[in-house]
Amino acid sequence: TGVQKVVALFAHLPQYEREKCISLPAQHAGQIHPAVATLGLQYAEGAIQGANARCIAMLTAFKAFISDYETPATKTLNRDLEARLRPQIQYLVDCRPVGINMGNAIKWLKARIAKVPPHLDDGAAKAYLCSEIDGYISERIVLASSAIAELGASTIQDGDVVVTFAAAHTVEQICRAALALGRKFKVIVLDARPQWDGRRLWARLVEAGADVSYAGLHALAHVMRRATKVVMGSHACLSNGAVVARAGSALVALSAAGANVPVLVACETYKFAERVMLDSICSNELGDPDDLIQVRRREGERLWRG
Amino acid sequence: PAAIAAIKVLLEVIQKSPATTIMGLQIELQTAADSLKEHQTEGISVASGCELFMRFVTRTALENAEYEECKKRILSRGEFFRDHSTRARAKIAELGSPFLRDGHIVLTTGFSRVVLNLLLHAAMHMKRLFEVVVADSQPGGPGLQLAQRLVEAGIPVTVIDESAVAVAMERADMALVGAEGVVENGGVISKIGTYQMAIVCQASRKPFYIAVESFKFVRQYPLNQRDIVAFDGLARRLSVDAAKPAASKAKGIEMEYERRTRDYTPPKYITLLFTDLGVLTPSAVSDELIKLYY
Repeated sequence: TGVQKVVALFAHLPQYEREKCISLPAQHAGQIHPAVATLGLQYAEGAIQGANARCIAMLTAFKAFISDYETPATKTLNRDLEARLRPQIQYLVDCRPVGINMGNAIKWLKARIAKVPPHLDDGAAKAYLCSEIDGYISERIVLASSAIAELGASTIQDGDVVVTFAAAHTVEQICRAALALGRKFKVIVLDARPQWDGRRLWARLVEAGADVSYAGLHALAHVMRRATKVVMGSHACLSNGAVVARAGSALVALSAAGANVPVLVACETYKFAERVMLDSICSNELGDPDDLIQVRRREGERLWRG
Repeated sequence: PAAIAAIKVLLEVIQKSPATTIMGLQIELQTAADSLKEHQTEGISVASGCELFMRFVTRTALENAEYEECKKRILSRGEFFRDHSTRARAKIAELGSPFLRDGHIVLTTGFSRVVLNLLLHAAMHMKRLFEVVVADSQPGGPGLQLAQRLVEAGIPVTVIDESAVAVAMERADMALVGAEGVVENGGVISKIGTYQMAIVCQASRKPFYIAVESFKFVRQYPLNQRDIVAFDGLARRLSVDAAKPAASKAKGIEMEYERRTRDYTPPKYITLLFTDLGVLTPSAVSDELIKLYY
Protein backbone atom coordinates (compact mmCIF):
# COMPACT_ATOMS: atom_id res chain seq x y z
CA THR A 1 0.00 0.00 0.00
CA GLY A 2 1.56 3.20 -1.10
CA VAL A 3 0.91 6.44 0.69
CA GLN A 4 -2.50 7.51 -0.37
CA LYS A 5 -3.36 10.16 2.11
CA VAL A 6 -0.97 12.10 4.27
CA VAL A 7 -2.52 13.09 7.59
CA ALA A 8 -1.46 16.65 8.32
CA LEU A 9 -0.68 15.96 11.97
CA PHE A 10 1.78 13.22 11.03
CA ALA A 11 3.12 14.77 7.86
CA HIS A 12 6.57 15.26 9.41
CA LEU A 13 6.96 11.53 10.15
CA PRO A 14 8.22 8.92 7.69
CA GLN A 15 5.09 7.68 5.95
CA TYR A 16 4.13 4.03 5.79
CA GLU A 17 4.93 2.62 2.35
CA ARG A 18 5.15 -1.12 2.36
CA GLU A 19 5.50 -1.90 -1.30
CA LYS A 20 8.55 0.29 -1.42
CA CYS A 21 10.45 -1.89 1.05
CA ILE A 22 9.74 -5.08 -0.82
CA SER A 23 11.16 -3.70 -4.03
CA LEU A 24 14.16 -2.16 -2.34
CA PRO A 25 16.54 -5.12 -2.42
CA ALA A 26 16.04 -5.34 -6.17
CA GLN A 27 16.85 -1.67 -6.52
CA HIS A 28 20.06 -1.92 -4.56
CA ALA A 29 21.08 -5.24 -6.11
CA GLY A 30 24.66 -5.99 -5.22
CA GLN A 31 24.89 -3.37 -2.53
CA ILE A 32 22.76 -4.93 0.19
CA HIS A 33 24.17 -7.96 1.95
CA PRO A 34 21.73 -10.92 1.81
CA ALA A 35 21.50 -11.20 5.58
CA VAL A 36 20.59 -7.54 5.79
CA ALA A 37 18.12 -7.84 2.89
CA THR A 38 16.37 -10.73 4.64
CA LEU A 39 16.27 -8.76 7.86
CA GLY A 40 14.77 -5.74 6.14
CA LEU A 41 11.97 -7.81 4.72
CA GLN A 42 11.37 -9.41 8.10
CA TYR A 43 11.09 -5.93 9.62
CA ALA A 44 8.70 -4.81 6.91
CA GLU A 45 6.53 -7.88 7.36
CA GLY A 46 6.54 -7.48 11.11
CA ALA A 47 8.05 -10.93 11.57
CA ILE A 48 10.37 -9.62 14.26
CA GLN A 49 8.67 -7.70 17.04
CA GLY A 50 10.04 -6.14 20.17
CA ALA A 51 12.86 -3.68 20.77
CA ASN A 52 15.38 -6.24 22.04
CA ALA A 53 14.62 -8.80 19.34
CA ARG A 54 14.97 -6.24 16.57
CA CYS A 55 18.23 -4.95 17.93
CA ILE A 56 19.78 -8.39 18.35
CA ALA A 57 18.65 -9.37 14.85
CA MET A 58 20.16 -6.21 13.43
CA LEU A 59 23.49 -6.69 15.15
CA THR A 60 23.61 -10.33 14.08
CA ALA A 61 23.00 -9.33 10.46
CA PHE A 62 25.77 -6.74 10.74
CA LYS A 63 28.09 -9.43 12.05
CA ALA A 64 27.41 -11.45 8.89
CA PHE A 65 28.03 -8.34 6.83
CA ILE A 66 31.31 -7.60 8.61
CA SER A 67 32.48 -11.19 8.25
CA ASP A 68 31.94 -11.07 4.51
CA TYR A 69 33.51 -7.66 4.11
CA GLU A 70 36.92 -7.30 2.53
CA THR A 71 38.94 -4.13 2.76
CA PRO A 72 39.90 -2.80 -0.68
CA ALA A 73 43.62 -2.47 -1.26
CA THR A 74 43.70 1.34 -1.18
CA LYS A 75 41.55 1.84 1.90
CA THR A 76 41.65 1.22 5.66
CA LEU A 77 39.05 -0.85 7.45
CA ASN A 78 38.31 1.89 9.98
CA ARG A 79 36.92 4.26 7.41
CA ASP A 80 35.79 2.09 4.56
CA LEU A 81 33.72 -0.34 6.62
CA GLU A 82 31.69 2.49 8.05
CA ALA A 83 31.07 3.89 4.58
CA ARG A 84 29.92 0.49 3.35
CA LEU A 85 27.76 -0.02 6.41
CA ARG A 86 25.82 3.14 5.75
CA PRO A 87 23.73 1.86 2.81
CA GLN A 88 22.92 -1.27 4.83
CA ILE A 89 21.64 0.87 7.64
CA GLN A 90 19.75 3.12 5.25
CA TYR A 91 18.06 0.12 3.69
CA LEU A 92 16.94 -1.13 7.09
CA VAL A 93 15.64 2.32 7.94
CA ASP A 94 13.69 2.39 4.70
CA CYS A 95 12.10 -0.95 5.49
CA ARG A 96 11.11 0.10 8.95
CA PRO A 97 12.29 3.16 10.95
CA VAL A 98 14.88 2.12 13.53
CA GLY A 99 14.08 2.54 17.15
CA ILE A 100 16.03 4.68 19.61
CA ASN A 101 17.71 1.59 21.04
CA MET A 102 18.83 0.43 17.61
CA GLY A 103 20.11 3.94 16.92
CA ASN A 104 22.22 3.72 20.07
CA ALA A 105 23.58 0.33 19.00
CA ILE A 106 24.46 1.68 15.56
CA LYS A 107 26.27 4.66 17.09
CA TRP A 108 28.19 2.31 19.32
CA LEU A 109 29.11 0.06 16.41
CA LYS A 110 30.36 2.96 14.33
CA ALA A 111 32.46 4.17 17.23
CA ARG A 112 33.92 0.67 17.64
CA ILE A 113 34.73 0.44 13.95
CA ALA A 114 36.52 3.78 14.08
CA LYS A 115 38.56 2.54 17.05
CA VAL A 116 39.72 -0.76 15.60
CA PRO A 117 43.46 -1.01 16.30
CA PRO A 118 45.11 -0.15 12.98
CA HIS A 119 47.83 -2.78 13.26
CA LEU A 120 45.31 -5.62 13.04
CA ASP A 121 44.95 -7.36 9.69
CA ASP A 122 41.55 -7.82 8.07
CA GLY A 123 40.78 -11.19 9.59
CA ALA A 124 41.79 -10.16 13.09
CA ALA A 125 39.94 -6.83 12.86
CA LYS A 126 36.74 -8.55 11.72
CA ALA A 127 37.05 -11.13 14.47
CA TYR A 128 37.58 -8.32 16.96
CA LEU A 129 34.46 -6.48 15.77
CA CYS A 130 32.36 -9.62 15.82
CA SER A 131 33.43 -10.44 19.33
CA GLU A 132 32.69 -6.86 20.39
CA ILE A 133 29.20 -7.17 18.93
CA ASP A 134 28.73 -10.47 20.77
CA GLY A 135 29.83 -8.72 23.94
CA TYR A 136 27.39 -5.87 23.39
CA ILE A 137 24.48 -8.22 22.86
CA SER A 138 25.49 -10.35 25.79
CA GLU A 139 26.13 -7.53 28.28
CA ARG A 140 23.85 -4.69 27.29
CA ILE A 141 20.86 -6.74 26.24
CA VAL A 142 20.83 -10.31 27.55
CA LEU A 143 22.55 -9.91 30.90
CA ALA A 144 20.89 -6.56 31.40
CA SER A 145 17.48 -8.20 31.11
CA SER A 146 18.52 -10.85 33.62
CA ALA A 147 19.62 -8.20 36.08
CA ILE A 148 16.35 -6.36 35.56
CA ALA A 149 14.44 -9.60 36.02
CA GLU A 150 16.13 -10.23 39.36
CA LEU A 151 15.50 -6.72 40.59
CA GLY A 152 11.94 -6.70 39.29
CA ALA A 153 11.17 -10.06 40.84
CA SER A 154 12.25 -8.77 44.25
CA THR A 155 9.55 -6.08 44.06
CA ILE A 156 6.79 -8.63 43.50
CA GLN A 157 5.24 -9.80 46.75
CA ASP A 158 2.87 -12.63 47.55
CA GLY A 159 -0.66 -11.59 46.77
CA ASP A 160 0.32 -8.99 44.18
CA VAL A 161 -1.82 -8.34 41.15
CA VAL A 162 0.59 -7.25 38.45
CA VAL A 163 -0.82 -5.50 35.42
CA THR A 164 1.18 -5.31 32.24
CA PHE A 165 0.57 -4.04 28.74
CA ALA A 166 1.35 -5.65 25.38
CA ALA A 167 4.35 -7.96 25.18
CA ALA A 168 7.66 -6.98 26.70
CA HIS A 169 10.61 -9.32 26.91
CA THR A 170 11.73 -7.83 30.21
CA VAL A 171 8.30 -8.23 31.79
CA GLU A 172 8.24 -11.88 30.83
CA GLN A 173 11.69 -12.28 32.41
CA ILE A 174 10.53 -10.56 35.58
CA CYS A 175 7.50 -12.82 35.88
CA ARG A 176 9.58 -15.92 35.31
CA ALA A 177 12.09 -14.82 37.93
CA ALA A 178 9.33 -14.10 40.42
CA LEU A 179 7.84 -17.54 39.77
CA ALA A 180 11.24 -19.08 40.32
CA LEU A 181 11.40 -17.32 43.68
CA GLY A 182 8.12 -18.98 44.56
CA ARG A 183 6.05 -15.81 44.74
CA LYS A 184 2.30 -16.23 44.57
CA PHE A 185 1.04 -13.47 42.32
CA LYS A 186 -1.43 -12.86 39.56
CA VAL A 187 -0.68 -11.24 36.23
CA ILE A 188 -3.17 -9.40 34.07
CA VAL A 189 -2.03 -8.80 30.52
CA LEU A 190 -3.71 -5.84 28.86
CA ASP A 191 -3.77 -5.72 25.13
CA ALA A 192 -4.74 -3.45 22.28
CA ARG A 193 -5.54 -3.72 18.61
CA PRO A 194 -4.47 -3.89 15.90
CA GLN A 195 -1.51 -6.10 16.72
CA TRP A 196 -2.73 -7.81 19.87
CA ASP A 197 0.86 -8.26 21.01
CA GLY A 198 -0.18 -9.19 24.51
CA ARG A 199 -1.30 -12.61 23.36
CA ARG A 200 2.30 -13.67 22.89
CA LEU A 201 3.18 -12.73 26.45
CA TRP A 202 0.01 -14.29 27.78
CA ALA A 203 0.71 -17.61 26.02
CA ARG A 204 4.31 -17.66 27.29
CA LEU A 205 3.29 -16.90 30.86
CA VAL A 206 0.65 -19.60 30.78
CA GLU A 207 3.34 -22.04 29.68
CA ALA A 208 5.56 -20.82 32.48
CA GLY A 209 2.84 -21.67 34.97
CA ALA A 210 1.83 -18.18 36.01
CA ASP A 211 -1.66 -17.27 37.16
CA VAL A 212 -2.35 -14.97 34.27
CA SER A 213 -5.46 -13.42 32.77
CA TYR A 214 -6.01 -11.24 29.76
CA ALA A 215 -8.08 -8.19 28.97
CA GLY A 216 -8.39 -5.48 26.37
CA LEU A 217 -7.73 -1.83 27.12
CA HIS A 218 -11.43 -1.14 27.37
CA ALA A 219 -11.34 -3.03 30.68
CA LEU A 220 -8.63 -0.73 32.03
CA ALA A 221 -10.67 0.99 34.72
CA HIS A 222 -12.06 -2.28 35.95
CA VAL A 223 -8.68 -4.00 36.07
CA MET A 224 -6.92 -1.07 37.72
CA ARG A 225 -9.17 -1.25 40.76
CA ARG A 226 -7.71 -4.64 41.63
CA ALA A 227 -4.14 -3.95 40.59
CA THR A 228 -1.34 -3.58 43.14
CA LYS A 229 1.32 -2.64 40.64
CA VAL A 230 1.85 -2.02 36.96
CA VAL A 231 5.00 -3.39 35.32
CA MET A 232 5.74 -2.43 31.73
CA GLY A 233 8.51 -2.75 29.25
CA SER A 234 9.85 0.18 27.29
CA HIS A 235 11.30 1.17 24.01
CA ALA A 236 13.47 4.00 25.28
CA CYS A 237 14.03 6.18 28.32
CA LEU A 238 14.59 9.88 27.74
CA SER A 239 16.78 12.33 29.63
CA ASN A 240 13.91 13.80 31.59
CA GLY A 241 12.78 10.39 32.81
CA ALA A 242 9.98 10.09 30.28
CA VAL A 243 9.48 6.64 28.81
CA VAL A 244 8.82 5.83 25.19
CA ALA A 245 6.90 2.58 24.84
CA ARG A 246 4.25 0.78 22.85
CA ALA A 247 1.23 2.96 22.05
CA GLY A 248 -1.20 2.52 24.90
CA SER A 249 1.37 2.43 27.69
CA ALA A 250 0.74 6.05 28.60
CA LEU A 251 -2.95 5.28 28.98
CA VAL A 252 -2.20 2.43 31.35
CA ALA A 253 0.22 4.58 33.35
CA LEU A 254 -2.23 7.47 33.67
CA SER A 255 -4.97 5.13 34.77
CA ALA A 256 -2.64 3.62 37.35
CA ALA A 257 -1.68 7.04 38.67
CA GLY A 258 -5.35 7.82 39.07
CA ALA A 259 -5.85 4.64 41.06
CA ASN A 260 -2.73 5.15 43.21
CA VAL A 261 -1.10 2.09 41.72
CA PRO A 262 2.71 2.26 41.39
CA VAL A 263 4.02 2.02 37.83
CA LEU A 264 7.34 0.24 37.32
CA VAL A 265 9.07 0.41 33.95
CA ALA A 266 11.81 -1.99 32.93
CA CYS A 267 14.43 -0.42 30.69
CA GLU A 268 17.92 -1.61 29.83
CA THR A 269 20.50 1.17 29.81
CA TYR A 270 21.26 0.74 26.12
CA LYS A 271 17.81 2.18 25.51
CA PHE A 272 18.62 5.44 27.28
CA ALA A 273 18.49 8.40 24.92
CA GLU A 274 20.06 11.79 25.39
CA ARG A 275 17.06 13.65 24.15
CA VAL A 276 13.77 14.96 25.34
CA MET A 277 10.43 14.64 23.58
CA LEU A 278 7.70 17.08 24.44
CA ASP A 279 4.91 14.95 23.05
CA SER A 280 4.34 11.59 21.41
CA ILE A 281 4.09 12.94 17.91
CA CYS A 282 7.36 14.79 17.37
CA SER A 283 9.10 11.49 16.75
CA ASN A 284 7.16 8.32 16.10
CA GLU A 285 6.54 5.47 13.73
CA LEU A 286 3.49 5.14 11.52
CA GLY A 287 2.00 1.70 10.98
CA ASP A 288 -0.19 0.29 8.28
CA PRO A 289 -3.48 2.19 8.28
CA ASP A 290 -5.22 -0.82 6.73
CA ASP A 291 -4.61 -2.73 9.95
CA LEU A 292 -7.21 -0.57 11.60
CA ILE A 293 -10.14 -1.48 9.50
CA GLN A 294 -11.22 -4.43 7.43
CA VAL A 295 -13.52 -3.29 4.71
CA ARG A 296 -15.33 -5.94 2.72
CA ARG A 297 -17.80 -4.14 0.57
CA ARG A 298 -16.41 -2.31 -2.40
CA GLU A 299 -18.29 0.85 -1.53
CA GLY A 300 -16.82 0.80 1.90
CA GLU A 301 -13.41 0.32 0.37
CA ARG A 302 -13.87 3.38 -1.77
CA LEU A 303 -14.99 5.48 1.17
CA TRP A 304 -12.11 4.29 3.32
CA ARG A 305 -9.58 5.14 0.66
CA GLY A 306 -11.18 8.52 0.15
CA PRO B 1 20.21 5.52 70.32
CA ALA B 2 20.53 1.94 69.25
CA ALA B 3 22.22 2.74 65.98
CA ILE B 4 25.05 4.69 67.64
CA ALA B 5 25.53 1.84 70.10
CA ALA B 6 25.73 -0.57 67.17
CA ILE B 7 28.33 1.60 65.47
CA LYS B 8 30.42 1.70 68.66
CA VAL B 9 30.18 -2.08 68.90
CA LEU B 10 31.37 -2.50 65.33
CA LEU B 11 34.27 -0.16 66.05
CA GLU B 12 35.28 -2.36 68.95
CA VAL B 13 35.02 -5.41 66.74
CA ILE B 14 37.63 -3.84 64.50
CA GLN B 15 39.85 -2.87 67.42
CA LYS B 16 39.77 -6.32 68.93
CA SER B 17 39.73 -8.31 65.71
CA PRO B 18 42.33 -11.08 65.45
CA ALA B 19 41.97 -11.13 61.65
CA THR B 20 45.12 -10.66 59.61
CA THR B 21 43.53 -9.85 56.28
CA ILE B 22 41.04 -7.28 55.06
CA MET B 23 38.68 -10.03 53.91
CA GLY B 24 38.85 -11.63 57.34
CA LEU B 25 38.07 -8.31 58.99
CA GLN B 26 35.16 -7.71 56.64
CA ILE B 27 33.74 -11.14 57.33
CA GLU B 28 33.95 -10.50 61.07
CA LEU B 29 32.26 -7.15 60.69
CA GLN B 30 29.53 -8.66 58.53
CA THR B 31 28.88 -11.42 61.07
CA ALA B 32 28.74 -8.89 63.90
CA ALA B 33 26.40 -6.62 61.92
CA ASP B 34 24.10 -9.50 61.02
CA SER B 35 23.95 -10.57 64.62
CA LEU B 36 23.12 -7.03 65.72
CA LYS B 37 20.38 -6.71 63.11
CA GLU B 38 18.86 -10.02 64.17
CA HIS B 39 18.58 -9.17 67.82
CA GLN B 40 17.43 -5.63 67.63
CA THR B 41 13.83 -4.64 68.19
CA GLU B 42 14.34 -0.93 67.75
CA GLY B 43 13.78 -0.66 64.06
CA ILE B 44 15.66 -0.22 60.88
CA SER B 45 18.12 2.39 62.10
CA VAL B 46 20.44 -0.31 63.43
CA ALA B 47 20.48 -2.06 60.06
CA SER B 48 21.08 1.14 58.14
CA GLY B 49 23.67 2.37 60.64
CA CYS B 50 25.65 -0.87 60.37
CA GLU B 51 25.41 -0.93 56.59
CA LEU B 52 26.64 2.64 56.26
CA PHE B 53 29.42 2.12 58.78
CA MET B 54 30.75 -0.85 56.88
CA ARG B 55 30.57 0.92 53.54
CA PHE B 56 32.27 4.00 54.89
CA VAL B 57 34.96 2.09 56.67
CA THR B 58 35.94 -0.34 53.94
CA ARG B 59 36.04 2.20 51.16
CA THR B 60 39.77 2.90 51.53
CA ALA B 61 40.79 -0.63 52.31
CA LEU B 62 42.38 -1.25 48.94
CA GLU B 63 44.86 1.60 48.98
CA ASN B 64 47.47 0.19 51.37
CA ALA B 65 49.41 -3.03 50.99
CA GLU B 66 50.20 -3.51 54.68
CA TYR B 67 47.37 -4.90 56.78
CA GLU B 68 48.34 -3.01 59.93
CA GLU B 69 48.33 0.30 58.05
CA CYS B 70 44.98 -0.56 56.52
CA LYS B 71 43.59 -1.45 59.89
CA LYS B 72 44.71 1.89 61.33
CA ARG B 73 43.05 3.74 58.45
CA ILE B 74 39.86 1.72 58.87
CA LEU B 75 39.87 2.36 62.60
CA SER B 76 40.29 6.09 62.15
CA ARG B 77 37.50 6.21 59.57
CA GLY B 78 35.32 4.22 61.93
CA GLU B 79 35.99 6.66 64.75
CA PHE B 80 35.22 9.57 62.43
CA PHE B 81 31.92 7.95 61.48
CA ARG B 82 31.06 7.32 65.11
CA ASP B 83 31.85 10.88 66.12
CA HIS B 84 29.99 12.29 63.13
CA SER B 85 26.94 10.20 63.97
CA THR B 86 27.06 11.17 67.63
CA ARG B 87 27.17 14.80 66.65
CA ALA B 88 24.40 14.39 64.10
CA ARG B 89 21.69 15.47 66.47
CA ALA B 90 23.44 18.69 67.39
CA LYS B 91 24.00 19.51 63.73
CA ILE B 92 20.35 18.86 62.91
CA ALA B 93 19.29 21.12 65.77
CA GLU B 94 21.44 23.92 64.38
CA LEU B 95 20.16 23.52 60.83
CA GLY B 96 16.51 23.08 61.74
CA SER B 97 16.08 25.74 64.40
CA PRO B 98 15.91 28.70 61.98
CA PHE B 99 12.67 27.25 60.63
CA LEU B 100 10.98 27.88 63.98
CA ARG B 101 9.88 31.47 64.26
CA ASP B 102 8.52 33.42 67.21
CA GLY B 103 4.83 32.78 67.62
CA HIS B 104 4.86 29.51 65.69
CA ILE B 105 2.74 26.57 66.71
CA VAL B 106 4.52 23.31 65.95
CA LEU B 107 2.64 20.04 65.62
CA THR B 108 4.47 16.80 66.35
CA THR B 109 3.84 13.15 67.07
CA GLY B 110 5.79 10.31 68.63
CA PHE B 111 8.91 10.84 70.69
CA SER B 112 11.93 11.53 68.57
CA ARG B 113 14.99 12.64 70.49
CA VAL B 114 16.18 14.40 67.38
CA VAL B 115 13.01 16.49 67.36
CA LEU B 116 13.31 17.06 71.10
CA ASN B 117 16.86 18.25 70.69
CA LEU B 118 15.88 20.58 67.89
CA LEU B 119 13.02 22.12 69.85
CA LEU B 120 15.15 22.53 72.99
CA HIS B 121 17.94 24.12 70.98
CA ALA B 122 15.58 26.59 69.36
CA ALA B 123 13.98 27.50 72.67
CA MET B 124 17.04 27.67 74.88
CA HIS B 125 19.91 28.70 72.65
CA MET B 126 18.14 30.69 70.01
CA LYS B 127 15.56 31.99 72.42
CA ARG B 128 12.63 31.40 70.09
CA LEU B 129 9.16 31.69 71.54
CA PHE B 130 6.92 28.98 70.17
CA GLU B 131 4.25 26.53 71.25
CA VAL B 132 4.19 22.81 70.67
CA VAL B 133 1.13 20.64 70.16
CA VAL B 134 1.98 16.99 70.73
CA ALA B 135 -0.22 14.22 69.38
CA ASP B 136 -0.12 11.52 72.01
CA SER B 137 0.52 8.61 69.68
CA GLN B 138 -0.76 5.18 70.56
CA PRO B 139 0.45 2.52 71.00
CA GLY B 140 2.94 3.38 73.67
CA GLY B 141 1.97 6.98 74.36
CA PRO B 142 5.48 8.34 73.79
CA GLY B 143 4.05 11.74 72.95
CA LEU B 144 3.43 12.25 76.63
CA GLN B 145 7.11 11.73 77.43
CA LEU B 146 8.07 14.30 74.84
CA ALA B 147 5.53 16.74 76.24
CA GLN B 148 6.93 16.35 79.73
CA ARG B 149 10.50 17.05 78.60
CA LEU B 150 9.34 20.15 76.72
CA VAL B 151 7.37 21.51 79.64
CA GLU B 152 10.37 21.02 81.91
CA ALA B 153 12.31 23.24 79.53
CA GLY B 154 9.68 25.91 79.72
CA ILE B 155 8.06 25.42 76.33
CA PRO B 156 4.25 25.72 76.27
CA VAL B 157 2.84 22.34 75.33
CA THR B 158 -0.61 21.02 74.54
CA VAL B 159 -1.21 17.28 74.37
CA ILE B 160 -3.94 16.10 72.04
CA ASP B 161 -5.26 12.75 70.86
CA GLU B 162 -3.95 11.41 67.59
CA SER B 163 -7.46 11.61 66.22
CA ALA B 164 -7.52 15.36 66.80
CA VAL B 165 -4.58 16.09 64.50
CA ALA B 166 -6.76 17.31 61.62
CA VAL B 167 -8.56 19.74 63.90
CA ALA B 168 -5.33 20.97 65.48
CA MET B 169 -3.80 21.56 62.06
CA GLU B 170 -5.98 24.61 61.66
CA ARG B 171 -4.05 26.40 64.40
CA ALA B 172 -0.65 24.98 63.55
CA ASP B 173 2.03 26.60 61.37
CA MET B 174 4.06 23.49 60.64
CA ALA B 175 4.57 19.88 61.59
CA LEU B 176 7.91 18.42 62.67
CA VAL B 177 8.43 14.71 63.13
CA GLY B 178 11.31 12.26 63.47
CA ALA B 179 11.83 9.10 61.44
CA GLU B 180 13.22 5.62 61.82
CA GLY B 181 14.43 5.31 58.30
CA VAL B 182 14.68 7.36 55.13
CA VAL B 183 14.18 5.43 51.94
CA GLU B 184 15.63 5.89 48.50
CA ASN B 185 12.97 8.14 47.09
CA GLY B 186 13.07 10.51 50.05
CA GLY B 187 10.08 8.98 51.80
CA VAL B 188 10.31 7.99 55.45
CA ILE B 189 9.35 5.09 57.65
CA SER B 190 8.31 6.23 61.08
CA LYS B 191 5.94 5.83 63.98
CA ILE B 192 2.38 5.10 63.00
CA GLY B 193 0.48 8.34 62.72
CA THR B 194 3.19 10.17 60.80
CA TYR B 195 1.67 9.43 57.40
CA GLN B 196 -1.70 10.67 58.59
CA MET B 197 -0.19 13.88 59.86
CA ALA B 198 1.59 14.35 56.54
CA ILE B 199 -1.61 13.97 54.55
CA VAL B 200 -3.43 16.42 56.81
CA CYS B 201 -0.55 18.89 56.41
CA GLN B 202 -0.76 18.70 52.66
CA ALA B 203 -4.52 19.14 52.70
CA SER B 204 -4.12 22.20 54.94
CA ARG B 205 -1.15 23.50 52.94
CA LYS B 206 1.18 23.52 55.94
CA PRO B 207 4.85 22.49 55.70
CA PHE B 208 5.75 19.02 56.92
CA TYR B 209 9.34 18.62 58.16
CA ILE B 210 11.26 15.52 59.13
CA ALA B 211 14.30 15.66 61.40
CA VAL B 212 16.48 12.59 60.90
CA GLU B 213 20.15 11.56 61.09
CA SER B 214 21.90 10.47 57.91
CA PHE B 215 22.81 7.04 59.28
CA LYS B 216 19.14 6.23 58.95
CA PHE B 217 19.25 6.41 55.17
CA VAL B 218 18.42 2.95 53.79
CA ARG B 219 18.59 1.44 50.35
CA GLN B 220 14.96 0.38 50.28
CA TYR B 221 12.19 1.45 47.93
CA PRO B 222 8.76 0.68 49.37
CA LEU B 223 5.94 1.15 46.88
CA ASN B 224 3.13 1.18 49.39
CA GLN B 225 2.29 0.49 53.05
CA ARG B 226 2.33 -3.23 52.46
CA ASP B 227 6.01 -3.17 51.54
CA ILE B 228 7.08 -2.05 55.02
CA VAL B 229 5.31 -4.83 56.90
CA ALA B 230 8.66 -6.56 57.19
CA PHE B 231 9.87 -3.67 59.33
CA ASP B 232 6.73 -3.66 61.35
CA GLY B 233 7.56 -6.61 63.56
CA LEU B 234 4.19 -7.99 62.52
CA ALA B 235 0.92 -6.27 63.30
CA ARG B 236 0.37 -7.27 66.86
CA ARG B 237 -2.88 -8.78 67.91
CA LEU B 238 -4.38 -7.66 71.11
CA SER B 239 -6.08 -10.32 73.10
CA VAL B 240 -9.80 -10.05 72.98
CA ASP B 241 -11.33 -9.10 76.31
CA ALA B 242 -12.35 -12.46 77.82
CA ALA B 243 -15.35 -10.97 79.59
CA LYS B 244 -16.86 -9.94 76.29
CA PRO B 245 -16.56 -12.88 73.97
CA ALA B 246 -16.72 -12.12 70.28
CA ALA B 247 -20.39 -11.96 69.33
CA SER B 248 -20.01 -14.08 66.24
CA LYS B 249 -18.51 -17.14 67.91
CA ALA B 250 -21.60 -18.92 66.64
CA LYS B 251 -20.48 -18.33 63.08
CA GLY B 252 -16.95 -19.31 63.95
CA ILE B 253 -15.27 -15.98 63.30
CA GLU B 254 -13.45 -13.83 65.81
CA MET B 255 -12.94 -10.13 65.87
CA GLU B 256 -9.53 -9.25 64.46
CA TYR B 257 -7.33 -6.55 65.90
CA GLU B 258 -4.51 -4.91 64.04
CA ARG B 259 -1.96 -2.65 65.61
CA ARG B 260 0.61 -1.40 63.13
CA THR B 261 3.59 0.26 64.68
CA ARG B 262 5.03 1.95 61.62
CA ASP B 263 3.91 3.62 58.45
CA TYR B 264 5.52 4.85 55.26
CA THR B 265 5.19 8.47 54.25
CA PRO B 266 5.75 9.01 50.51
CA PRO B 267 8.06 11.88 49.50
CA LYS B 268 5.34 14.01 47.95
CA TYR B 269 4.01 14.86 51.42
CA ILE B 270 7.39 15.87 52.82
CA THR B 271 8.50 19.49 52.46
CA LEU B 272 12.05 19.23 53.78
CA LEU B 273 14.27 16.85 55.71
CA PHE B 274 16.62 18.26 58.35
CA THR B 275 19.66 15.99 58.34
CA ASP B 276 23.26 16.28 59.44
CA LEU B 277 24.16 16.37 55.75
CA GLY B 278 22.11 19.52 55.36
CA VAL B 279 18.53 20.55 54.80
CA LEU B 280 17.38 18.32 51.96
CA THR B 281 14.39 18.07 49.69
CA PRO B 282 13.12 14.49 49.28
CA SER B 283 14.57 14.34 45.78
CA ALA B 284 18.02 15.22 47.12
CA VAL B 285 17.98 12.18 49.37
CA SER B 286 18.77 9.72 46.61
CA ASP B 287 21.74 11.87 45.55
CA GLU B 288 23.05 11.78 49.10
CA LEU B 289 22.44 8.04 49.30
CA ILE B 290 24.50 7.50 46.20
CA LYS B 291 27.32 9.55 47.71
CA LEU B 292 27.11 7.62 50.96
CA TYR B 293 26.97 4.18 49.46
CA TYR B 294 29.51 4.63 46.72
